[in-house]
Amino acid sequence: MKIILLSLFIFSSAFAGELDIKFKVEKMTLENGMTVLLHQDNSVPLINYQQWFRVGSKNESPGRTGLAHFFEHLMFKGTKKYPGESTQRLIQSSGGSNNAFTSYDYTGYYETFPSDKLELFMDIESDRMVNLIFDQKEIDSEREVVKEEKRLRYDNSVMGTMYLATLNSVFKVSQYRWPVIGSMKDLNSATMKDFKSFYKTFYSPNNAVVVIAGDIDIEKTKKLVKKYYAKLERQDVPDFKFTPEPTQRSQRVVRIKKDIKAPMIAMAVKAPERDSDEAYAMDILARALGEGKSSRLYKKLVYTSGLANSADSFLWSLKHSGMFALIVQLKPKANVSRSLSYMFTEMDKLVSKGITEKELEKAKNIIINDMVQSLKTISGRARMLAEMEVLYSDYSLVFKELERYEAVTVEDVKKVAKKYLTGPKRSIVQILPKK
Amino acid sequence: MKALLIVTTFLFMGCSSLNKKSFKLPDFKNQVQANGSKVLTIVDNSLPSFSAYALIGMGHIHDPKGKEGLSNFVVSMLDKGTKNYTAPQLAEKVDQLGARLQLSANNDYAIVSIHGLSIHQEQLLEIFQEVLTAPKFSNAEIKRLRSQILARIVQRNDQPPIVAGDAFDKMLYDKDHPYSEPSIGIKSSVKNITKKDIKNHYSKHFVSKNISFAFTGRLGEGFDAKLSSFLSPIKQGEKQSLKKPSVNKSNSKIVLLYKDDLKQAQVRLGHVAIKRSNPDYLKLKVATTILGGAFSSRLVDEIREKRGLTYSISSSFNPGYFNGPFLISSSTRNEKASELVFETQKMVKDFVENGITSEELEMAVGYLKGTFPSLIETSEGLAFNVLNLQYYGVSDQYLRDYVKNLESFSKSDINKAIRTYIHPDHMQTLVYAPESVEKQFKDSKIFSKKSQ
Repeated sequence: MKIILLSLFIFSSAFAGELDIKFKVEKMTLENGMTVLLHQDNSVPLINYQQWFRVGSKNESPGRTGLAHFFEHLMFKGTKKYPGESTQRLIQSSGGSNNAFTSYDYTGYYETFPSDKLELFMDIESDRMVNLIFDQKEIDSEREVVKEEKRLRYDNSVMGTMYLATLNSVFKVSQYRWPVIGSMKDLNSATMKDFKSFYKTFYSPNNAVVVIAGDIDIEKTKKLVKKYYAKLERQDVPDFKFTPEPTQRSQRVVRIKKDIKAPMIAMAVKAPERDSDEAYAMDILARALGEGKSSRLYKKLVYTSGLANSADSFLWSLKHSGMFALIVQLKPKANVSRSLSYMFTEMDKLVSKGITEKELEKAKNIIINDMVQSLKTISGRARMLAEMEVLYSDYSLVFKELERYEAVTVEDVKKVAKKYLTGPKRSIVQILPKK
Repeated sequence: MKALLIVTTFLFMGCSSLNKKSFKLPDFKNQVQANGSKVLTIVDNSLPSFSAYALIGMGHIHDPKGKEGLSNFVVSMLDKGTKNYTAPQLAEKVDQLGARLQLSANNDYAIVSIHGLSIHQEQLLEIFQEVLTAPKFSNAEIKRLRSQILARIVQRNDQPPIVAGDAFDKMLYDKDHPYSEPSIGIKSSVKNITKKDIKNHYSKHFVSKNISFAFTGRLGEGFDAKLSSFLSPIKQGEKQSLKKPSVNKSNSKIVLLYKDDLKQAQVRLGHVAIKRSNPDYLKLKVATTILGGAFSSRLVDEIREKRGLTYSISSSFNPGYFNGPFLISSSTRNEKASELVFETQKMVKDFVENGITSEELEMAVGYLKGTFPSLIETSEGLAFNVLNLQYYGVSDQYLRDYVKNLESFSKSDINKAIRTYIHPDHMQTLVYAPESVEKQFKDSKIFSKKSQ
């Protein structure tokens, strides 16, 4: 299948010329409110199936953190028709692979399988949307699995520790202030009642988006969708109200001592919400500052001063807010305050002078190349569609992404730098060796 | 030099009964050029993308004794200044195109690759050629890179899975075996590497018959003609032969490695097993899928699902140019380390003694058949697989017959392979955890303990 990407008139400017990323998508909305996106690509006899729900850790409450992710694990425990273990065996013997993830804003379940197994997988997915079985013994066993995941990804990892500490420093009030994995205390106290209520509240067809991409026949797939999903009943889903962070008025500093050899530093600020023009400008800012070996951070901290082994910056965009961060992995015994002073200098330079036209063009080229790479697989395309549909009920935003990046000017970048990066709005997190 | 086509292989293949529709492996063209370099081309016009790969027979196994880490050092120097560009100029050039230039070396070989938009094909090829054929190896850049590598070696200590993996390799292999140390090298060997070593190692390995290339994406008209000028600066030369290192079979033992602030124990079990060229590799892939290679497998069902001991447990054969390990990896809360170890050992023993069931065979074969197209869905995935197989002396036929062979395996074929290649009596076990775990192993007859 050929994906039309008419950005090929690129001369000196990244997107100069016509821009148009397009692949065919058909959208169905069932009477029960469920949205289904169909994307046909018969080049490989595989289907990628994404079933996402508009619920994430932001829908939890203090004392019940980690519930959305813990529940995601329970979704693999099965139903009366498709019990957990035997269904997993059935999925594998059918040539399928499956997994899931939980984010702040959404939860996604996905499978890839040979295209003649579509009906089986649709039956399994539609069934567990409403008929999940809860068993106390399985909940208790899975609780330990989730706690092991927390130890592996965060408690026993320097990068994981850094991530949690940075997030906790930037977000103090909003629902993004607790991590998706939750706290050990909350994981220990989650009850079957909590899970049942969570399931009933958020797992309903009108809160779901299904993307079926790959080797499908559109008309036949539509019929199957109606057969398996149309009978599911709509449920009332409570409105979500985001609590915005108040303006940060002084710099926050967090120091954590660990038994490690090399320090790691992060500098982070709150960033604009994902679907804002500012977010696109900020993404370009992040790439100019810290993506690639020609970036400002790399040149200063890794190449010239030799203080660090890596220095990156990135924008982490969420539906209601975001985080812009610099992460620097210092060499053992490197001078931390000197490194911090270089990071401050680079941030200050961005605030006062912004970026150059050349940096703008470079960032845009990196973005278009990344976009091309992610369009290569059917699952990559399916995931992009699912995300935009779940967040904004509009999958076609996928096709407008490049235009929005193209519209960003050096002035826009300077404006967001000035608005978001100034001193009092920063959080500085340091993970330092004990000795 | 004009490229001369010596051998051309066109593969049009149907993977029978993968599905009601037959799966056709994408077409690719494999040529041996006049200078001896192998060149794989895969045309894929679906997106405006272009990628180039070079697989160089220069990995940790080629490092001279006392200079461990040299291959990694050499490949990492390729973008640190060339005949026409300084390191910052080259970085600027790559980033300005939005491209990705990747350099890496593992135990067996090095990979240099560049990925970008097809409209930049000329510039991408120029950069690719420049880094492969005209690196400068300046003193200042050698000094800078050495400092970075030494820092990375120290930083590995901050990552528990890496510490456990390195310590386990040391348990499995004798000191003289290249797989006993990480391919990045150790502090003393990296300090020993001189400019002369770097230049010699580069000259010895960056020669025509020791490099395989792959080009994928929108290649455009007349790409073959471009190849001859691309390949012309590559020096003629042969592949280096290697002496096979010895491997001693040792009896089972448990080693405890301590670090007191760990929140979770890292566990590794296994022994030295097969080379990648072993014809039974696919049978063993089926076997380890059943043991712990998929979400529904014996180890995952028992250790994760029933006992709640871990988030992840996996088993695999990781064959290389030389005999690589049969490996089980997991992690658990410190107080459960011995339960995970002993239960896993028991399950491996049972796996070898009693073998697999027909249902398990059906499940593993179905799973491997079904996930096969994903491995080669992109032209880059296919290119990497073909280059990798080629390096290990495995024919493309492996991909062509993958599904057919899976379907032909009987239960007794797999059980025979399990009995031949998995040896519970030689299983080594490493636990990386706080010292407090020691009491859990007090009844074990053989163990040694060390502090990190």
